[in-house]
Amino acid sequence: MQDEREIEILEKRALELARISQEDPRRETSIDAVAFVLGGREFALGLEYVREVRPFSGVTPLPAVPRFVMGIAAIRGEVISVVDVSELLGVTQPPLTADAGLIVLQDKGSAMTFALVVNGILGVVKIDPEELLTLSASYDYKESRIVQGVTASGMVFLDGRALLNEPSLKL
Amino acid sequence: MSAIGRSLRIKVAFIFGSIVVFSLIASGVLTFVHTRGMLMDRITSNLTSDTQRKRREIVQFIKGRVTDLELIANSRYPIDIVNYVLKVREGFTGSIGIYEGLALKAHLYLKNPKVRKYFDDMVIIDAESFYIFYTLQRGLEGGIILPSQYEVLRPLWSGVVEGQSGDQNEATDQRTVYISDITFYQPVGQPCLIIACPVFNDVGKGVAVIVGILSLHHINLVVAGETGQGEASETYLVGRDGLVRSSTVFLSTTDVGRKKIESMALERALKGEEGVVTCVNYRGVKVVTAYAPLNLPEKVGVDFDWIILSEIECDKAFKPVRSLAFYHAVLGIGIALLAVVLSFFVSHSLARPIRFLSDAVGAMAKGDLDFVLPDSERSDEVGQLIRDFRQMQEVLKANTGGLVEGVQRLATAVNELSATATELATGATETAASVQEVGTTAEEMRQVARHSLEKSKNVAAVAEEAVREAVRGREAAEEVLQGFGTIRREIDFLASSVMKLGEQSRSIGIIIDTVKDLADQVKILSVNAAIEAAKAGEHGKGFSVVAQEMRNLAEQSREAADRIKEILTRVQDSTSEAVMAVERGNRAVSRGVELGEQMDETIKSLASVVQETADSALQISASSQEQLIGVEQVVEAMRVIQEAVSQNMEAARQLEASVHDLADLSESLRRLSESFKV
Repeated sequence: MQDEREIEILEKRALELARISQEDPRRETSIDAVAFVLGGREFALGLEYVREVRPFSGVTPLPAVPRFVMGIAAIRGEVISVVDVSELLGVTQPPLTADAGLIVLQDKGSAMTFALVVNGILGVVKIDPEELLTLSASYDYKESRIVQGVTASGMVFLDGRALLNEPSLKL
Repeated sequence: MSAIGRSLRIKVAFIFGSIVVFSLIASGVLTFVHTRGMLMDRITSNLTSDTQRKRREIVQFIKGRVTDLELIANSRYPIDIVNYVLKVREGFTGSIGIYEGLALKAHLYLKNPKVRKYFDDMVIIDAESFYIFYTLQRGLEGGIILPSQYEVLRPLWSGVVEGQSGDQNEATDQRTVYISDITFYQPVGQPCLIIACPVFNDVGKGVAVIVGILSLHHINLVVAGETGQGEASETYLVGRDGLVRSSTVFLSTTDVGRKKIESMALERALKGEEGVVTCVNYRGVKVVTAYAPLNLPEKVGVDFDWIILSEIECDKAFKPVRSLAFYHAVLGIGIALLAVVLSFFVSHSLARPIRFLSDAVGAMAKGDLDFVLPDSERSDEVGQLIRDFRQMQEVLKANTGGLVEGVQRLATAVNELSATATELATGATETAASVQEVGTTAEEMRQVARHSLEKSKNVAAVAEEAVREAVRGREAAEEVLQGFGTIRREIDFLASSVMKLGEQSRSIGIIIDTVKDLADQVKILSVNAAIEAAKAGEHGKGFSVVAQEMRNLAEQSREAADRIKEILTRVQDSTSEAVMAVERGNRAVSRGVELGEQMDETIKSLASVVQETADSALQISASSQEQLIGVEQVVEAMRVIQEAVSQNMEAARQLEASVHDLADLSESLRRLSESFKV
């Protein structure tokens, strides 16, 4: 008896799993993105322009650089500049904690690479661009080009390439 | 009545007199009423029958007179006279002598009392005119007669003449006779009843009217009847106009036709009734009256009517009854007086000795035994009573004398006794009061002694208890000190354990930090793996799932580590608190040990003091006991004395009361004896 019931339950599960795989084509439109926290607000960046993420382990400050450049850090034997985009995104950067991390951005086309310092990395999420809400006046970002939209949960979805090519971040 | 009740003689006389008077009054009243009723019945029946008879007689009389006049009118005599007078008037001188002779004869005939009977006067009047041919009183020689005296006849005359002329046509001879009511007729000189009748000549023509006059005298005779008009009875006629129509003793002829009668009997008769009634008549006298209307129009055919009233004066009618009553009363009073006198004498002979006896007893009641009662020679019961009384008085006198003397002696003795008893009672009361006071004091003393004994016993008991408590206190203090030693050792052990625990938890903390770092790194790694998977495109999809799972695991590890860290933090806090508590415990124990030692010292010194107190309390208790026994003996002795004194006093009081009663008794005896005269 017990064996029969177990078999029945397992079969049911198998059917459910099969149904999920069938639904996959509908998910094709969604994009994987890294979610992070900066200045108390949640943001997301498409994985296309993200090379990797790292825990923040300190930077080496550089003299005579703009304020948004925190310094440089060596990542896998490569010196990469660390940038604080909180001002650009209109948030106030709180003190960095043990949760703080770095997101290394890279545009393969323009060979532009730098790391963003964030308050915390939340993980990888799926974002459906069709479900994004258009930006309203309540978002006071300077360059709306950087911001692609806002999810229903209030997460700001950023365009990685726009950020990499942001003129105000040019040295 | 009180005046009657006081004397036996008057009482007896009154009773006898009353009985006689009452019986006489009763018989008198009965006889009077009965006789009066009978007499009244007789008078009534007499009057009724008399009245009826007279009524018939009057009617008969009138009818008889009418018949008489008709007979005369129908005879040839009146016409003879008429013829003669007519001849004379005509101045006929031929054979006047013949006419004169006939007329004379007629006059004589009419004058004859056997012919004219009751008529006092007769008048012949011409039928043509009111011319008087002839009157009986004047005769034929009267010549011309003035008609003025005969005016009263005119209505009657005209009535006859007119009736005559009418009758001829109807060929009836009814109402040829006319009667007038009683009228004053001058030629006769008194009221008269007048009857008129026509006179016919040979050819049947009414040439004259003959009138017959009946004086009142005749009517009166008929009305009075055989009995006549007496002093007591009176019978008379009254017209419907209430005027008198006949005369009596009290009614003169002048009253006829003038005097008005008013009485109840007349009123009833005018209504057509007849009967007997007692009423007041016209003279104001109370009379029994029989009344009846004559009904003349019906019976005789005239146009007037009379009422006959027959009266008897009540006073005179009931005179015999009244005289009977008078004689009865006189006789009654005489008999009553006789009875009273007789009874007075009889009762006097009874009451006299009783009064003497009463005086004697009254004197004795006042204590006078010397009163002398006169001896009686009577041999009846009254005499015996008086003799016995005298004997009794003698015996009583002798006894009372001795009694009075004895009483006086007794009174003196009792007075002395009373004084002594009073003194005795006073002394006893004073003694009792003093003894009472001593007794009260002794009782108070005993109470105090008992109280002090109880107190001292209580003190001793408390002291013993205190000694025991002190011993227990000392033992307890020692136990406390031992306990504190044990506690201190345990606390030291506890402190070392807690220290070890603190160290171990710190090591755990370090390990946990490492775990957390690992988890973070895994998390970053998982993100990078996801990135790499994304870059691998479709082929990296499976890896992406793995990366997700890794990330989940990393997060769970991180959470677990966080929770352990949290717990550990709390453990560390508790450990620190425990360390501090141990510190405090250590200090408290040290202080406790110190205090325990002090207490032990104090208790030891207290115990020795308490022991001394207990010893003293026992000594006090013993002496109090002895004292109480002594005092109780005193109290008992006092109580016995008090009882004796109390009995003594009670006896004295009773003695005094008895003596007092005796004194009262002797005093009343003395007063009693003083009231006697021996």
